[in-house]
Amino acid sequence: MGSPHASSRRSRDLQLSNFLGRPARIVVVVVLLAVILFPLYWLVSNSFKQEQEYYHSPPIMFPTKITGQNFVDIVVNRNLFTGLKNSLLIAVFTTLCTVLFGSLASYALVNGMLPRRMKHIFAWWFLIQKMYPAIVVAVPVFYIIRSLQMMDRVAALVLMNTSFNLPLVILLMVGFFQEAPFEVEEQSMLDGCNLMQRYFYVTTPMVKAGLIATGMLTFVASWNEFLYAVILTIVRAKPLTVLIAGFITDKALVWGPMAAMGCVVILPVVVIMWAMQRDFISGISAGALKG
Amino acid sequence: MLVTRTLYQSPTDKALSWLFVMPVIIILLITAFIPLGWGLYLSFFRYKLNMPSATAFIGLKNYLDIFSDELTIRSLRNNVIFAMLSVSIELLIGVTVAMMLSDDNRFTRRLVSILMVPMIIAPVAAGTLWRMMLDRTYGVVNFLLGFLGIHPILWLGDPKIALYSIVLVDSWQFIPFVAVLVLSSIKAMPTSFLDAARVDGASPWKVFWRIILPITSPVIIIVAMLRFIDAFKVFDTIFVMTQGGPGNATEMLPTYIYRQGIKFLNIGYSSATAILFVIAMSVIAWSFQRLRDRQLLRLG
Amino acid sequence: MKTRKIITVLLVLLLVVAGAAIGQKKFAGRSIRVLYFSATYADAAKEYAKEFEATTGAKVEVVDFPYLTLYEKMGLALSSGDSSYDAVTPACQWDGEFEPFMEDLTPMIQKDKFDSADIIPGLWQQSGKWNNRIMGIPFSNTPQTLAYRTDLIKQMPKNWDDFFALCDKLNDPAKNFYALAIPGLKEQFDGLWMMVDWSIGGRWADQNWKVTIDSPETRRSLDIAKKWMKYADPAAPAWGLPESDAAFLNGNAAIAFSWPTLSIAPNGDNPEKSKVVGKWAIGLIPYEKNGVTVLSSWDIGIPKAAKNKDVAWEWIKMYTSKEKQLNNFLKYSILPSRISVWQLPQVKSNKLYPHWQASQQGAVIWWRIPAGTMAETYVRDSVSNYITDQWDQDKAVKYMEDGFNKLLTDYPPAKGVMNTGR
Repeated sequence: MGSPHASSRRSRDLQLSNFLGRPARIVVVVVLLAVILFPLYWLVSNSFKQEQEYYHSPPIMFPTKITGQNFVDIVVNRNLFTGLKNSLLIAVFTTLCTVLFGSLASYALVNGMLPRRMKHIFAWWFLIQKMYPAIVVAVPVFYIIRSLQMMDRVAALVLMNTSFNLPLVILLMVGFFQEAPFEVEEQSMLDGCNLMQRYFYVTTPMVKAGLIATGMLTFVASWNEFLYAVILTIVRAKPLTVLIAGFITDKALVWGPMAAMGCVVILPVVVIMWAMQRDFISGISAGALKG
Repeated sequence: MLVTRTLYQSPTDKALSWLFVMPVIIILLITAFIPLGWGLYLSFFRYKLNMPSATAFIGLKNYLDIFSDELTIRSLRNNVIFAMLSVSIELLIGVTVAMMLSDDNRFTRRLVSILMVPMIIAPVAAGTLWRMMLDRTYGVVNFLLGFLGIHPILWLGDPKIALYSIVLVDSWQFIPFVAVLVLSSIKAMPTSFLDAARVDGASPWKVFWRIILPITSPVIIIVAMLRFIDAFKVFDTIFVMTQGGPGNATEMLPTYIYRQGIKFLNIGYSSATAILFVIAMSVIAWSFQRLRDRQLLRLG
Repeated sequence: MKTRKIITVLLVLLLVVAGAAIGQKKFAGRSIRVLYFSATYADAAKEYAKEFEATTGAKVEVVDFPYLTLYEKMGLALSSGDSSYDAVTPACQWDGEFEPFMEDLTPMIQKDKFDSADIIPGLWQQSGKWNNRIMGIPFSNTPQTLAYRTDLIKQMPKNWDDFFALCDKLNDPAKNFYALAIPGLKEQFDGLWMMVDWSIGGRWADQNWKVTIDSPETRRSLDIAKKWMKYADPAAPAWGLPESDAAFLNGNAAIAFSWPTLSIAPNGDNPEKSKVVGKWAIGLIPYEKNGVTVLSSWDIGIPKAAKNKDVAWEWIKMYTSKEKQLNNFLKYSILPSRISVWQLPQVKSNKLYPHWQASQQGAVIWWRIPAGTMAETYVRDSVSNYITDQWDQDKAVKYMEDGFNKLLTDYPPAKGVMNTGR
């Protein structure tokens, strides 16, 4: 009764996932897979269909002739490479700035010598920032960006996206820094390291997991951002999200190229996420649990 | 909570602390504090950007107009219905899915990685994809439903249905979000609870209802809060799928503020709506937090 | 000796410099950005950009947005004094709103002796001239017409009752064939309703801005608009212009309410894109009382904040020139604004010629005052809510009336400005 083997055999008997019964589980899992995978299949298959086939009633489930023409079209006619370049620049630089500034600030909040009030101000700010939709400050921001001569520049979007992601990054990093063992800090302080040296050489390596998790969250969020991309760009700095929305025009319903663009928008993020799932999950879990 | 770091730190450290925090303060000042403050100031004016001659200080009139504006009420109503529906569906199905994937084996791990895809897709892309699929004549959803004998549904053009179509797309994207978080919480549960249940020979349902649900309730409450608040920020999907139509059936607060602020450059009015929005959301978030704290207390 | 050498050197230098200056293209090294509506107009501009660069040396960047977002992009840029664009193409209904931010082109027109007399005078009055200034030159003049199947309809009816009788005959849902192809999305549909309202004599407000929307004409036109949907594909309420045009081109409808020049005309006789090759024509809407339809006209002008006004003016002259307008017409189905082009044989014999008749009959735009766009939104929401049965007729009419009154109080038209639209 008390031996480890007995209880592990028992634990195999108690399958939590059968909490609604075995048949229900099978149904749910099958439906789940279908509902998630089918739209993705649809997106990919449409991006390879020819024009007669993607705009056809009834819809064609299995394309008879596939073509790469749609991808060629979005490169030539729709500025795909510009969009890709911009999305990449925005996401990468936002991630760098957010993680750098955010972790610096979190570190200072936890291990630095800031007045206690600062922490409260930041906590209060994070709560407020979660509350309002970005649209609320859109017009004042437009003005500010314009007066800084930053319209249609990738830098403007990096700035805005950094601002959106800072609260979460700081929140998470504060948690990670607090968990890091203080003794190591103390030791290096006694050894005469100042704040900056401690940050770079001592503590940061300990919270690498946190940096990766927050970095990934920021990358995904800034890659997917749409509203400010639409407001602050004209031509040169348009990222992929604006390009794909631009398909909804009065001219024609070109679902093939639209789907092709959709694939390009989705693919990089999916690849990154699959490569680093665990960090990603730990990131959002921490975010929710500490909120 | 925070360990008191009372060890003496040099004045350099104090200066460096401020230095570390400076970039964040500057960024937030430029992109958040100042715009919000300016918005608050402008909300007391009638100020249309492209008609500067009509600018006038009108005190609280913008705020009063909001309550008598047919469309604001409609947007609010739509938004509330949308929020309640999508959060309920997402919680219900999300928790179910989390439970069903709570075994730890290769199969479920693969499932989880597939599960995560919808929530990292850009809402704009998801909206575009679903718009293609929900088209009445050329869309694949109606085509497949036809095999079940269901007549073609006008998903995005029927005002009675359009809102539910948006709920559908939002749920598709964020059920995974709920599921992943609840799953982490389940996995993080101390096994002592489960072991006790096993010894007692309890059924899976009982274990779920009596043990797992209560213990994960703080997380579930927070997830509900996050989804609820996000439901009031929905913009991208609506912009791409219905533009607030048909009529105003899918008009939500963010799209309405966009319309007033960016389209009509009616900055005074849209700022007032925005400020009210922030206040309302803060109250809601605070209530959720209270609920969770009380739940945590109850669990001991 | 020495002086002669110096003079020779100087003369040679002078000749070299002069030669270089003459050989230089006029605007070499300059570049401008022009803003267009994403349709045939932008396509034409893109074609001419290369040619413009070859002749003047100036690079042209053509930026375009769909109609839905064009207004806010243009409005935001102009009203905030943004210098991103050197030339913009407002729709005529935005003239009143954008005029304060645009250059007066009168001095340039006079200096270069631009042949203003060739532009249809009534058109310029409604599109490009405002507040005694010339803020733009109209380059397209499109009254709203419809396209119909010549193999099924001999003659378009002249009033709405006959129209519906015709629809009854042609409608055949069992064979997936509908009498009408209609874009039901609110930003397109409201124009269609306006077209009916004005054609039977209705008005939003009279000449002195007294709101007259609550009228029997308004109610009748709402009834007519609602009745249309019975003869259209059930998916039509969610259709934009692309879908409804496609339905017509696929042979599934007898009459298409649309802006035919955007898609039906360019693609109608192209066997790859159309199943109704040779079987369609442009028709006029059933006029009854006042016989006016809606005007869509775009003018091109220069923002006050532009940095390259001289280059922009050259571009404008080129784009609105006689040769380019002919090319616009033949290649892109852009209807000309020049009388002389309308009289050319290639134009007169073209399928699109009925548009000339329509504009002679009368085409107007709604309010061009700054409050006009907001007024149009009241119409959009109200008509859409009525057609989809979310509001009853009284509520729809009252909503428009209250909205118009509020707008006219908060944002009154400038003194002396009359309502020349409807």
